[in-house]
Amino acid sequence: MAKPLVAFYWCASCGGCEESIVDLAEDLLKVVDAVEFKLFPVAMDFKYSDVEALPDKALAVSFINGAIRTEEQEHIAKLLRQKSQLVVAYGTCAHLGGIPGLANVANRKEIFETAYKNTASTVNPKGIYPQTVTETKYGKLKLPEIYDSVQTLDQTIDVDYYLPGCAPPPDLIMNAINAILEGKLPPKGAVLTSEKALCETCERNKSKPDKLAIKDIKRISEVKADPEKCFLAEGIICMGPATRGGCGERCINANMPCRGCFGPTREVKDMGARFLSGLASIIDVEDEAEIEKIAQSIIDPIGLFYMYSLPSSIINRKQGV
Amino acid sequence: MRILTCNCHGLIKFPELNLGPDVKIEQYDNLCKLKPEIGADEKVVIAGCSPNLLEGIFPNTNAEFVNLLEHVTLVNHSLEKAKGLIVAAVEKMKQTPSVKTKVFDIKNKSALVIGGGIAGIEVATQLSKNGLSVKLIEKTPFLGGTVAKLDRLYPEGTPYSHTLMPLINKLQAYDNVAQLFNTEVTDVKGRVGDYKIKLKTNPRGVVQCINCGKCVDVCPVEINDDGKKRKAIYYVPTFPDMYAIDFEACTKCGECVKVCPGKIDLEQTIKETDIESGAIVVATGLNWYDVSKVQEYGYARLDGVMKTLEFERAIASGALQPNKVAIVYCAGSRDSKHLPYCSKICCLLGLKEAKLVKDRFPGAEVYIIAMDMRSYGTFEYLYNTLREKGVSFIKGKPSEINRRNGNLVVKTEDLFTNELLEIEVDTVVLSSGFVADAATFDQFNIKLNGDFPVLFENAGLGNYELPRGIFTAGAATFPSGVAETLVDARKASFSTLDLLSRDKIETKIPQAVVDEDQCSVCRMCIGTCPYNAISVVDDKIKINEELCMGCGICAITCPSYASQLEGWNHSGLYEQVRSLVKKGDVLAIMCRWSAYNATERVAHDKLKYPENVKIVRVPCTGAVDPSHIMLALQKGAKGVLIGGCYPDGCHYARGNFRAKAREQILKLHLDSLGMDKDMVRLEWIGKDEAHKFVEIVQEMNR
Repeated sequence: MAKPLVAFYWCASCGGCEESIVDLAEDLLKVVDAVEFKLFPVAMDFKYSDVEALPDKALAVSFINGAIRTEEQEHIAKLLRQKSQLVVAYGTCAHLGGIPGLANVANRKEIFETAYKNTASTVNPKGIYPQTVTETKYGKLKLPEIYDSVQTLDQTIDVDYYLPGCAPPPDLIMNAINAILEGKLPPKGAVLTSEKALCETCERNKSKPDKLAIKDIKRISEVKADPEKCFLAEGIICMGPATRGGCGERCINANMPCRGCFGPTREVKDMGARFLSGLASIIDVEDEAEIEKIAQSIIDPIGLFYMYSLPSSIINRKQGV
Repeated sequence: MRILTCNCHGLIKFPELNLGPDVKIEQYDNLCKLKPEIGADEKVVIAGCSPNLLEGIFPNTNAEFVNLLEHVTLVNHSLEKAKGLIVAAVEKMKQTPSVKTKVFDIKNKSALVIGGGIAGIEVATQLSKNGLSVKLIEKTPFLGGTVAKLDRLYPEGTPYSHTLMPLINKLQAYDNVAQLFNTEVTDVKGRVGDYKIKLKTNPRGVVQCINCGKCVDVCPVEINDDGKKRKAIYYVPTFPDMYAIDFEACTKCGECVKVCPGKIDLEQTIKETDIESGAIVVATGLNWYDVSKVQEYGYARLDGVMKTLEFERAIASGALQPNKVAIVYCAGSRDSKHLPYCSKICCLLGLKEAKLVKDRFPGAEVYIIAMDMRSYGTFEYLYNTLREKGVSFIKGKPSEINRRNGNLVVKTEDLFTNELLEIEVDTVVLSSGFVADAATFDQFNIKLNGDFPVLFENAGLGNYELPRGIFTAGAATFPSGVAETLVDARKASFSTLDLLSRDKIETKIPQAVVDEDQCSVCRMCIGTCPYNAISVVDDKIKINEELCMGCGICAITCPSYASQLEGWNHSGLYEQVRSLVKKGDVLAIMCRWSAYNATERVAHDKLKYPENVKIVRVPCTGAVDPSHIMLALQKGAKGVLIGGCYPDGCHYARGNFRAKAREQILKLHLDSLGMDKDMVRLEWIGKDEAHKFVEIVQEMNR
């Protein structure tokens, strides 16, 4: 029997999702035995034309990581959708926009000015910026256009499943691959991890008092966190209650609070707003001026509440830029 | 789904609506008279007049109300707006599951009455007279409460016993009332119609008694009981007819045991009893404010400075014969540092003490120093009587009281003459206010709103309150005089009888429901509940249906939407906002208890506001979801106004403070998104503040 054909593609991402495939260790061999790759830019030499040559739906599944912010990414995402039976948004950036999604606090022009002109190590007296078309003596050279806004994968194409995480952990990857190979998939649109928030499995949840009540909000960098205690109970912001579990509490075990890379639970449309609402609710102060003061102590609300999910949120970019 | 529309006899005009085959539109001339049948689990949209009216006409239904009369017709807004409101309501209801009907069986038909003062005695009498089995518990060894400590009652100066003893004797005529003395509640579990209560009975010490009084003669311990000296073994001439030992004072010397012809047991132990009851009446009476906190008045520091009760008892017992008395009013009352409110009866108590002095010692000089005299209603004649008797009334608020040359000196301004006075007296009476019995109310999970409990059940306003079967009577509700206390006790008796005469109560009060498949037991919700209704049971979050009042604060706290308020679930409101808000609109999300009423008043005050202001009704500002605010802004709203009760007046105790914190952080976020943070405003808008509402939405519309 022919092996199912698979694509593993990257968009706006850091390469960590590719790394997560290597992290499968010996399980990777099982995967390679079970499937045949048709596109895997980091590891194997295929051309886009190889994919274009495939009949529609020829690929059993495409795993696409990274957010969509260029013309090329959009094009290949659409191509893979056309050629695939299933598309899995692989990793946080494809799922919610991820860290690249924070670019939505600026626009292309501002980003170019920073990246190609204003940083201390850049020397660009002529103010040369990347162009989509450059005339040279050898002919026209083309670069894909970079968009003003970063999008999630499902804002560009129809997505069947989401494999969350920055990067997804090996056990969830293998579960997903096995489920696809065995045809034992949950309903379309599912996020292939726990249905409940991280607190469900977090060891520190046990240390949490029944009534959470904080009088001030601390940043992890300002305090020495007790490795046994619930961060929130100590006033340190931890996105755990708003974030799907299944990650294995990798950050928590390194004494870092959760920042939300697994995204929100099923019913939640805007992760940051939901956590913001919960956090505000446990501020146990009944004085208007004092409440204002505590709120003002939050530095960088976007980075805090939307570190991984800005493009997927209701107001998904900075306005007026 | 059905849309029931009412044109209010042709007053309200309707838009053309075609919402597909699944939505049936019925038109009525007067919905309130015709009252069409609505199924228990049926979802309907009712478009007509105010939900505040219609909810009373269609109680226990799954309805979203559209107030076409006051939000469209009377403010001359267009039919297009009416259409938008109705469509949004339909969209909401499509996504909103039916509210479960809650049935509370009234399993137990007996009542527990807490407090053996006049209120408790009267309630116990009324209930037993009507055939109920009653337990009356009193924490002291005797009936009578505060009244039994008084010498006389205002306004006529009737001896206390002439009022108290007939009440006590009436109660003793019924054998279906059990009276337990030295008894307190230690634990309460259960719900309306089915309470399980633990009682603790402290020892009385005296087991058999012939009222000979020999024990008092030999008792070596003397204490000051609110101005009157008594022994550690004592008797209050009310009920029961037997002495009792005050074990807090008793040294167990055994002298009384030696002379007692009856039986005294100094080693009696505490007795615990479990009882059941269907309703509870809290009649724990007056609690004096600790006036020593008003340090400048020197109570407990200066001899001769006393409280009204102590003064009255000292005079009545002959221990005090004053020549010059200053009665200082509002000692700690109407004062933001102490009691911010007026306790209503202290002015009259002060007048009564002045009269007592004048009656006993006609030559004594009496000064009443008061900012105001609140001898309300017909009590004015008591004030007039005292003016005629030569009591000096000084308008002012003393700044301090000191001792000089053996006398007390009261320093005060006289606001009529603009003079600074130093009044030398031998006795100062502080007429201080009263505080709520917070410990008891806490035990029964009754929230104090401001300073005293808000008890909708007592007032029969409990349409949207969970029936608790807990009532208050008399001064526990708010400080009151004897006559008012008895009237209040009868009201509480009626409410109790009304409840216990039923077999069950059915209600569709929305409550929070937790989806265990979504809940991670993060426990963020627990501390936000104003009613302590959330707890962890067997590692799961449980909402106590006996306590949840349906504010929705926990639902908007839950980072997973695992907790949802029935009838107001997040996806329903999301769809409502999504459907309703158009570019350039101002969305007003209004608390049903305050700001929403102001939006209705606008129509009757003939005020105007722009058509693009769209009003959505929610149970509490604490149930407003920041996601829905963001959705409205994303849809192009010019602004979102959240209107709710003033800080200390939140119907659900503190939902508005949660809203405040959410608003503040949301504003911070909007600011960092490059948006004008003032597009979102949380405003306190009282029920009647139509003008304020209009001013705000006009500002937001600019």
